[in-house]
Amino acid sequence: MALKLHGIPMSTCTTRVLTCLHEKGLDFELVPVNLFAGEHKQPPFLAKNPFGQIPVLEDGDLTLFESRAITAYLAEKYKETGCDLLRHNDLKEAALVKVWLEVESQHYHPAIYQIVYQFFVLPLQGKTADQAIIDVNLEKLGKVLDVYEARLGTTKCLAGDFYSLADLHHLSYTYYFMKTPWASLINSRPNVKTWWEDISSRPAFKKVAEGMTFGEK
Amino acid sequence: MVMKVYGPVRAACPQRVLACLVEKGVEFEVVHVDLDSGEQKRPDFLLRQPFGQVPVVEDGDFRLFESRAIIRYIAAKYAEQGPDLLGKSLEEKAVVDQWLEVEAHNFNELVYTLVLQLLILPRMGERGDLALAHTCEQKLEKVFDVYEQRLSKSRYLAGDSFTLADLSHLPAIRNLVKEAGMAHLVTERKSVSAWWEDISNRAAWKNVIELAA
Repeated sequence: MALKLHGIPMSTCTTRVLTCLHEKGLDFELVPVNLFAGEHKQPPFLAKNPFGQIPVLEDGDLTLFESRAITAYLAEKYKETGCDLLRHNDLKEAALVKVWLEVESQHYHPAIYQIVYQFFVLPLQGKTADQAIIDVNLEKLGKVLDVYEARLGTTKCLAGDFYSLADLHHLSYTYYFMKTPWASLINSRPNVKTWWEDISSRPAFKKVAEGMTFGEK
Repeated sequence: MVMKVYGPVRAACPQRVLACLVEKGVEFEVVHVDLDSGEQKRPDFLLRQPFGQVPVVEDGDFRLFESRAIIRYIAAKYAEQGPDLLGKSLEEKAVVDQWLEVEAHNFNELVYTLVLQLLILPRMGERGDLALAHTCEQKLEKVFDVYEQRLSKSRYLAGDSFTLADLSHLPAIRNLVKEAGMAHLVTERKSVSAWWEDISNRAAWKNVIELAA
């Protein structure tokens, strides 16, 4: 029975999982969820994710939500296939992957999320972006990127000299961020820029990026 | 060599790590970090943790930060001793991960903001934003409704056993209930109440509270 992913091709969190599925070369079915009709907030969907959010993965009779738990599950289940995203053969490397997974989750995400939300999502709802919120978060993101710049001066990727799930988790939001007027936050930091160009040019991500059409007419 | 945990025992994120260490019966040494004087933002500490936050652990010459990464490492390294905090099968582990993510993304920020506005800022002599605190409280009501629904069907968040998913909530809920005057969020919900009674009375957690007293 194939993997079923409920979500949409332009969603940041859905594409986090799609990228992982492609890195692992897995067969799956993408089941669209009609966000504009509020499908995700209605009882049939809420039975899958009580928080009413996409994506949701169904693997036989296992249902999972939270994109970062889904990618961790896929990376673990298929650890012998495709790209080694978790470094499961080395406890220390695996732990360092976990550190930078948390850094993305706790430091990078909160800042970049606000910028992407204000710039891309609000206009879709007919609202105006709040520049004050954007400015505060640009400053926060800048500080986080300073830490990344120093880190990536010592290692090729975040957890070490190897691509891992920690790098992958950054792709979707950063891709949209690079379409905003503030892409210079990445481009002005040489190590971060090199890392970004490297990870975003991986075939698995390029495939997924084709569907990431937020902000395009 | 004993594992070193850098951070004050009173802070929530170090407590998350200490709870895990005590559950697993792992020896450790706490190295106090004086947050009030900004020790965590000074250059020598930034070498340990570039974001200037606690906790940091040093396991021999292996250093880690981010409390949720640390507890996963400890639970994996000491999988053979103490209670199983990770789950056995791949599916069980995935569900533990799912609820850890829920704690990190749907729960933590609301509690953090609320505690910041109601407790921490006033302690520092600044004004807390009560309207913001109230908004967080209302959102937390909805989150706890989801937890109530889950815990009415499952003894613990990830299934029949206590795991990292439950452990990760201990410091924040303790802050809500004991310090921020938000006990009603728990007590008004039957299954959440029973779950909280259970997990907050675990010997390991009580041990951590004693250390922090």
